[in-house]
This record gives sequence, C-alpha cells and structure tokens, in this order.
Amino acid sequence: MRYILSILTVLFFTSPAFAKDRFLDIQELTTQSGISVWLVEDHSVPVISLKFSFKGAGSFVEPNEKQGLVQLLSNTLDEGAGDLDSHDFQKVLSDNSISLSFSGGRDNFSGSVKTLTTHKDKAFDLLQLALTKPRFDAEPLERMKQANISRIKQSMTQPNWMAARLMNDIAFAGHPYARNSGGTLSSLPKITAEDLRAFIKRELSSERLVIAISGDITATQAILDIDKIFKALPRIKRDQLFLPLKLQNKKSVTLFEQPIPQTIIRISLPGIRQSDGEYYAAKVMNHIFGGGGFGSRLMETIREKEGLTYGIYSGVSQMAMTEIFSISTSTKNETAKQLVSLIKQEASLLKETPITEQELTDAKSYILGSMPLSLTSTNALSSIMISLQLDNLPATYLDTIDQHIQAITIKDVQTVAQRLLNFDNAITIFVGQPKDIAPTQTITKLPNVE
Amino acid sequence: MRVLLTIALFCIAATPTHAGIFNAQTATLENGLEIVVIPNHRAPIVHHMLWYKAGSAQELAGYSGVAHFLEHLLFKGTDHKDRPLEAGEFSKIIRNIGGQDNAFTSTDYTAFFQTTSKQHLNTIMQMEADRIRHAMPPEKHVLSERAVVIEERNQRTENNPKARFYEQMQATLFPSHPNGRPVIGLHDEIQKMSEKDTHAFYDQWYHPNQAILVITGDITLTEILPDIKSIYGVLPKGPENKRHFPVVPNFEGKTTITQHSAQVKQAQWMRAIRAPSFHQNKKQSLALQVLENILDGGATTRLYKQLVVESKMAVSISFSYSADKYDTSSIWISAIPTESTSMQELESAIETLLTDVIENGVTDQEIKEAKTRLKNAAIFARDSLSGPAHIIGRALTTGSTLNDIETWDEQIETVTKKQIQNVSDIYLKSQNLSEYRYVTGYLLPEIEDK
Repeated sequence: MRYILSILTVLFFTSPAFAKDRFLDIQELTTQSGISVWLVEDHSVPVISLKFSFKGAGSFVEPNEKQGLVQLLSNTLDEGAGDLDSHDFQKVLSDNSISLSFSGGRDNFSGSVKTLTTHKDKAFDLLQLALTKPRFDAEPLERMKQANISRIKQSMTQPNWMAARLMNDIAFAGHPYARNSGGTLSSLPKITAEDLRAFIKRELSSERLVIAISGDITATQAILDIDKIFKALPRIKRDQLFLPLKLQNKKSVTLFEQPIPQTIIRISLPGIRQSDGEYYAAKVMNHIFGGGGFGSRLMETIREKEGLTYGIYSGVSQMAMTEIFSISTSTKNETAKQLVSLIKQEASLLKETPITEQELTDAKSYILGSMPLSLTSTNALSSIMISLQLDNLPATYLDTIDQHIQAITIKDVQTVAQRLLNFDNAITIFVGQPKDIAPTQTITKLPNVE
Repeated sequence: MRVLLTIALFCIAATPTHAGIFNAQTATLENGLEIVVIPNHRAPIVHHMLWYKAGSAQELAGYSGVAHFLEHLLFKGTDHKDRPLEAGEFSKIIRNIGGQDNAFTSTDYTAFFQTTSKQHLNTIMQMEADRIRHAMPPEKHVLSERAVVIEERNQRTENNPKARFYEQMQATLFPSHPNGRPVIGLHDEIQKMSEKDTHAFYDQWYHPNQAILVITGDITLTEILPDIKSIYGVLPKGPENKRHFPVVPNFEGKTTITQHSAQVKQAQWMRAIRAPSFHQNKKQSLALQVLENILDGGATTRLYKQLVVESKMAVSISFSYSADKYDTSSIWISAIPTESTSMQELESAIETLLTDVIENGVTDQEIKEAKTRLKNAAIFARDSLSGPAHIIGRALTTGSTLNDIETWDEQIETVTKKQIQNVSDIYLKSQNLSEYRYVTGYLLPEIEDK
C-alpha cells in the first residue's frame, strides 16, 4: 500500500495549473464565433504557448507523386504572408523572440507559437497572417525544397532513419502511410505554390481544428485572441478520408546491408488502440517488457546481463488508421541473431509465466507517478492538451487514468501479452551486416527516397 | 540518520537569496560541497543533480573513456555498510517511486540526476550521497558494462560517418590536449579498461569538495538545507585536486582534413577554431557570444541571409561557439553547399563574409537586436524544471561563478562594437596569419570511378 498512497499525493497538485481535485486544471472554452479551445493558465513565467492541429490534414492525403507536400507546406507557411515577404516576416519573429513553427505528420497538420507575454499580440497577428494570407513566393519555396533535399541526403547516412523508412514501406505497404512524408528527391521539385494553396483551401478548415493554449494568459483574453486568429478560416465540412490499415508483410525479415559495425533492429507487431478494453493492460505489460528503459525485462536481460546493446525499447503507439507494438535496438553484427532470440525468449516468458505482485505494483507506481514529471514547461502543457484532443479524449481523461491502471491484474497482463507478443506476426528489419540471419528479402536500395 | 543532523549545523556559510535570472539560492558545506537551489513551484516535483568537476579532460593519456565508463559503473551497486545496493537497484528504486534518473559525462564534468515528486527528495539524496564514496561494481557487471559502452560507441560514432569525421577534426584541433579526445573514449582503450582504472579516477575525483549539488523544483534552500547537511554534510572532505591542462601551440600552416566516404551522400564543409572559454577570458567570451548571435541568430542574420537566401551558395550554415569549457573552447562553422557550388567556392564565400565582419565590423543595429534575442532567451530559460539546473551545473563546473550566471544578461549588455571587432579579428581571420588556430574539414561522398 505504501506505493499507492504516494501516487495519490502526486496526482493532486496544489499550484495554479493543478487544481486540488484534478490532475491538470484544463478549462474548456468556446469563443464567440464557436471555436473551442482548451486552456491551462499558469502565470509563473511570462510565456504563452499556443498549439493547434488540423485533424486529417496530414501527409496521407497528399498525392503520391507529390510526397512531401505537407512537409513543404510546414516549411513555407512562415516564409512570408500578407505584405511581409520572407525576410520581413522572419525579421518580426526574430526581433520579438517569437517561435512560430508548423509541422506535418501522417495524420495531421499542426502549428505552434511560443512567445513572451509582451509580444503576444504580434505573435498572434503573424500566425493569423500565415494561416490566411501565405505568400509562397518563389525564392523561399525553392530554398525550402533544397533544404529538404539536403536533409534527405544527410538522412541517407543514418542507419536508424533507413530502418524506419523501410519499416514504413513494408508494414504499411499499399496504404498512403507507406509513403515518405518527408518527400523524395524527385517528388519535392514537382510541388508548386499552387499545390500548396489548393491544399490549404481544401484541408485547413476550422471544422477540423483542435486548439490548446497555456501559460501567462487569462480565459477572457484567450477567447478573444483565439477568435481573432482562427475565425477567418474556411468552415468546410467534409468527410475525412479513412482507410483502416492492417499491418502488411507479417512474417517478413528484411535486410538492408550497410558497412557499419552494428545492426539496427526494428520489429513491428500488430498493436492495440486506446479505445480497446485491454489498452491499459497493454500499457502495464509494455512497461514491464521493454517500455520502461532501465528495469524493464528486455533492458535487464539484453543490456544489463548480456551487455549486448546500449539500449532496447518497446512501445505501444497508434495512428489514426492503425496501431503498432514496436521494438527497437542495435547490437554488433556478430550478436544480432542472439539478440533477436533473447527478445523472443523474454516474450515467451511473459506469455507463459505470470508476473509477480511486486512487478505489477512497481509498474503501476511508475506509470502513475511519472505522469507529472514532464509537465514542467509551458509548451508541455499545451502539448498534452493537443494530444488528448487528437485522440478524441475528454479533458477529464488524465483524472481517470489512475483508476484504469489500478484495476489491472496479473492475469490481465498475461492475457494481453499472449495477444500482442506473437512473433509469428512480426515484421523485422535489419540494417547493417548481421551474421547468420536468414532474411526473406534483401533490399539494395531504399524505397521512396530518390 | 537524523541523529547526525546537528553535526553540520554550525559549519554552513549560507549567502542571502540571489536576485538574477534564476534567483538561485546557495550555500557551501564545511566539507566543500557547493549547493544551489532554484525554487520552481509549478508542480510538487524536484530535479536533483550532483555534478562532479571532473570529466574526460582529467583522464590520463591511454585511458580515454575512463570518466564515462565510471559514470556507467556508478549504477552498478554500492557497498555502504547500512544501505548497500545491488547492481541496477539504484535506478529501479527511482523508477518504482515514479521517478526518472540518468547521468552524463562531458570533458569537464560528470553529472547524475533524478526527477521525482518532492516527498522522495530525501530518499534520492541519501542514495546519491552513498555513491559518492561507496560505489562497488561486481566484476561480472564491470565486464558486461564495458561491452555496453562499446555498443554505445558503435551506436553514437562508428555507425555514423559524420560523427567519425567530427572526432578526427576534434583530435586535430587539439593535438595532445584532452579536449581533442572523444569523451566516450577510443575503442581500443575502452576494450582494455578495468575496474582498477575507473577506481583510480573515482578515488581522485569523487569527493564532496569536488562536487556541486543543484536542486530545482518545489523547494527552497531554507527548507532543504537541514536535510542536505545531515545527508551530504557528514561525508569527509577529499583531497584537493587541481585541474591541469597542457598548452596547445598554434599551427604554422593551414590544416585541412579531407575525407571521402561511401556512406556520405551530402557534402559538408566544416571549420573548427580554438577560442577562449568564459573561464579563460570573460570579456572575449561575452563578445563571442554576441558575435555568434549576430552571425547565426536566425533566418535574418548574416550567415543565413547572405549565403543561403541571397547568394545561394549554401543550403544551410551554422556558427556555434561554446562558452562552457574549463580550458580552451572552440567555434564550429558548418555549411552544406548548394548543388551548383563547389567546396572551394563555398569556403571562399564564407571567408569573404568573415573578412567583411573583421574589416568593417558589425552594425549598432545588429548588436542591439542580438542582445535583445539573448536577453529574451534568458527569460525562456526559466520556463523549465531541469533547464536551469543544467545551465547552472554546466557553468559552475567549468569555472563560472553563480554571480556570472545570474547577471549574464547584464554582462551581455556591456559588450561593445569594438570588442566584437577585436574577437572577430583574432579568431575569424583565415588569411595572412603568422599562426593558425583552425582546422578546415571537407566531408565528401565517394569519388566516382569513371
């Protein structure tokens, strides 16, 4: 019981952002024009962080021959808007120490502003301008294409990047997720300013918008500001493209040879969604298996006992249309085979033998106790609010995790291990020169890069 | 343990609360342990760090990597007579109270840190205090951990041509000086390292009088000082060690390294220049910090504006100077040429730009804008739990005082145009020198066979 008591005291904060009866005091607000926004007020530093996402406006909706369009949009949206050209726009940001950035993921298109309170109005004006009157002038557009091409060429020396690229291509084969969201050497030059404008018009609708704001701002002020920034956006109600995806190429082992002393190993298995009844059991199981870093079974056996790797991690992740259980690690080429068999051995153990009461208590204690540790900056507060909204979770969700996790039993963990840790379904990638591995396919050129 | 509380009570030299960027509170125990507390009441959590004023720069020739290997071994158990810990138990305890912990090693320092809820602060202080003098890794763990360190080196350096190239540049820039050695160590030297080697380093450097305790979070010095005294204050003072450094002679000619690699797809130009740290020369270091921001403070500052936006010679360019070294530091300029630009053209364009700065100086407007950005950065630095602890630990272990850190923004304000021109002239000049302090590197794709 000692641990459970300590968790409760951690969960209920007393400082302004953390109301007594709630994990995080999220205010759900609606502006005059009907836009909703989540706010956590925290006046301890004069900083404000605003984050937003357009759901479903990610790279999976871009045309195949224009891979990288969303990436390029994220690079050029802050390169001039309204009367300000690239230089003038960037100069206002720089002179006022405003961080304004956009990013494109597979599922969503997102943006972020971090500013000192004193420069809030300028920051928000620039964001409004970028979203409604972007210029996409030829010079910055070309410059950003070149920067992306150079980034791709630099990535081509990174074995971890190669392994990730291969995994996407193989596990998501035939689905838009398989494409290279960073663009390819041949697709990027084809993208035009017209493509970017058309994408904005079609996809960046306020109907798809989720917004979070945190830091040194009041609710009254936030409502006014959010309206000013976002109300001019088009409101197009369109059905979102939804193509559910089951992982492809199960039972495959792919080798991409590289002249390096280590083999990078990635394994993907079908995962589990947050909405699934066994999701929290999976969280606990993953923590014990390989999710917790030091102390996890994979780390204990493979790093601490055998000295085979610097790190080994497993993870549960979900995207809008699929979910994955993944394992990633690296080891010298000579021990790649041994390492993979140790992973399988640990998986079998977890499936066949119940975990101990102590392991269960410790896992729950960590999962719940570590929740507040990352919420220590203004940015982190807005980030967590955006994640919740993107996962369609309520603002009260963080208050309910405690009861979900506490309810998990030893049997639940074993059951979900038996469901998920099924290596007959594995998609395995090796990058390096692994000894004694029998690949089902050997790749000589990375797909969707050039 | 509480019975020991009174022993240290009379020997504290606590100074009043310090007004400045972080409002840090400080004290020194009689055994020489320096204490810095940075109150941050956003959440009921604390970040606890113990910094040792020793890193790879204190290693003997032939033993590169000892400091880092020792850092790893500090997680392998302690033999304290009342509170012994098994290998790996330290991190498991932290994890099971919902906390996180890790450590890092650099040239001038080694630091261990934990983040937990406030109520566990005494537990972690006790464990950290115990391993100052009682680390005792069992032989089999020493061997397996050595293998882990080799995998770490593979992962960080051997797999990556850019990291290997950087290592060569560093070695060439600092011939027979410890700052030229890789912190992680050379493969062949790690391979033959024993616990005897790490223990010699441990006995020489791990003592309270060579350490700094930095705590940030929901705590004040007044609140925690009695516990710090009872836990850390009882440790005996160790030997007084001076950090000693050789002199690096300047070169009589230009030094270049050219490397072709099949792994490299994107050519890169680099120049590393030896320059004084803040500890060596405050005035010059402050001027270099402003100069760095004038040249590379954003998309509208000199390097990016002239070479990426205007002349299209580079796809990207960066200029970075680090003030935080105990002995000689360095400036690194790195650039990627555009498709149509040769290395020679890029180099001469960069040198022309630097010559312009040396001969014609920078403008008053540029200085003003850079100072504003730097001062704003100091406000943003407070928006974090661990950030301030890292900034302060790094600065104090490399010879700065707390006053230097707290008044950094005021000192930046005093930098003059003349000082900037002076450091430009000394450190950025590339031609007509009687002595050279720089190395130029060309990292290139493989030469194609015709």
